[in-house]
Amino acid sequence: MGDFFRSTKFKILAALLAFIVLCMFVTAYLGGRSSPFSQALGVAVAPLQKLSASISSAASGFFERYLGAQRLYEENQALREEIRLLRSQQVDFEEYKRENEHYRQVLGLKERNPEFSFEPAEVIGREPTDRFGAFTVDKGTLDGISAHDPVITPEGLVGWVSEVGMTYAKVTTILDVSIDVGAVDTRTRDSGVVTGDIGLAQQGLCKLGYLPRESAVTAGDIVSTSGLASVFGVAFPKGLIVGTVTEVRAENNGIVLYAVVEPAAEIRSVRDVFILTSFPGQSSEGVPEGGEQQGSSSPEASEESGGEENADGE
Amino acid sequence: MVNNRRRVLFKKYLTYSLLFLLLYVLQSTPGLFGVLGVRPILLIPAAVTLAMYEGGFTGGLFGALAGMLCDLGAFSFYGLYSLLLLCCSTAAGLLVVYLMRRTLRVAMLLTGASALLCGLLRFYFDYVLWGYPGISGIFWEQCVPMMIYTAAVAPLFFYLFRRMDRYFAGQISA
Repeated sequence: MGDFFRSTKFKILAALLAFIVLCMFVTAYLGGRSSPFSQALGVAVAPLQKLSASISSAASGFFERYLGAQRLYEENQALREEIRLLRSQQVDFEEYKRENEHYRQVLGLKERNPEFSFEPAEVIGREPTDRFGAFTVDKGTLDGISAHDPVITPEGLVGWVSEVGMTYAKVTTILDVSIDVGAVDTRTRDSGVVTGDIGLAQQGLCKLGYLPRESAVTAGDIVSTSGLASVFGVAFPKGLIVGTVTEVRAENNGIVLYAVVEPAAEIRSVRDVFILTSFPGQSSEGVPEGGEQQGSSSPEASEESGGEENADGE
Repeated sequence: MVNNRRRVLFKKYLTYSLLFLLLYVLQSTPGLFGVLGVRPILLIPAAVTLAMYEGGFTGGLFGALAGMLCDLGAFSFYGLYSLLLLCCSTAAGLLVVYLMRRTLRVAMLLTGASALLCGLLRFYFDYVLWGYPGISGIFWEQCVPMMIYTAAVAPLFFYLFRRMDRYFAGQISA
């Protein structure tokens, strides 16, 4: 075996090892951007992943059609019943319409924020070992995506772009313990920070932390983004729905409360997302104009935030 | 004769590279191979069992390739899998050449050891290092089943690479 360690082959392997270590340093230095080597590999692999994801999706859809025949029949019956009920309630049409408009105002991002720029993206990969629902999408810097861009679905916030290559981007979700999103309860206007929790993430939940002990947040409240930057300077636009409060608990230290939040977006099964490439308040560094940071107690900022949230809730 | 050998070797290594690429795509495709929410890292048994047939040098190179592909989809810091699989595959190749026999039991032992090493280090760097609370549940419910599942698919690759090795050896001697 000693011959091997003196051979040229061993020196080549040692050089490869040194190259990998160099790549590690380059990636660490580049922060949210992939290393050039990783990008080159990603360019080759991303189209194959996209093709594989499409085939997998089509195959599962094909089999579900037959395996779920009984479920579809029951669903069909239920829908017929629903249609009958709706027809009998036509007199309330105007009210339904008004409620629909209300939900569109709360959830509809484009209608309320025409200045948002979206880039639709498809989920092409999920790492087998990740516990927080992180995934890879098929859009990258060539499509105008940059690190720290918020990722959403029509239902609500999903996460942010943590790393971006030329043709792919990695998305860290709001279930992840490393994420911090400034958020507010739309009813009570109590502000906090949405972040992941290892125990809750297993159940597909996250938490709204740092709520004061006197907070009136209760189950059923809607949580939305406050528009304030996190401690890492990552900004999310104001008013994006994060989810619904299911429970309020006290932190272990007993000083503050946290609310368990069920994300509005189906994070672990989402297949199509939108990446916000541009939105009001986003500066070139990803920090909102004005330089507000999480924890700021500017009355103007909170009033402005609360005012808009209140308008949504009405 | 020399030209034929080179052509067959080129074809062999190209086939292995494409196979690794395919395995990466399969292991990262959402919903594939999932059992109770646990999915295997197919490239670990592939790299280790390939090294058992190809020796320390070629095995190490393909281990590095497998690691780079794993790192591409991984959300921890880049290079961890590359380093580990380069070392594990080289070690597996050298062990089979100098100390151990090329049997299924050895393949499962080496794959299990590699999966254990990768799983433990990944768990350490992703969770233990940051001091998150409640991580023991993740270890027992996710990491350990992933390691077992990864080691359990080793026979598939052991027999696949044995067949491919014999096929290409036959091509060279023909």
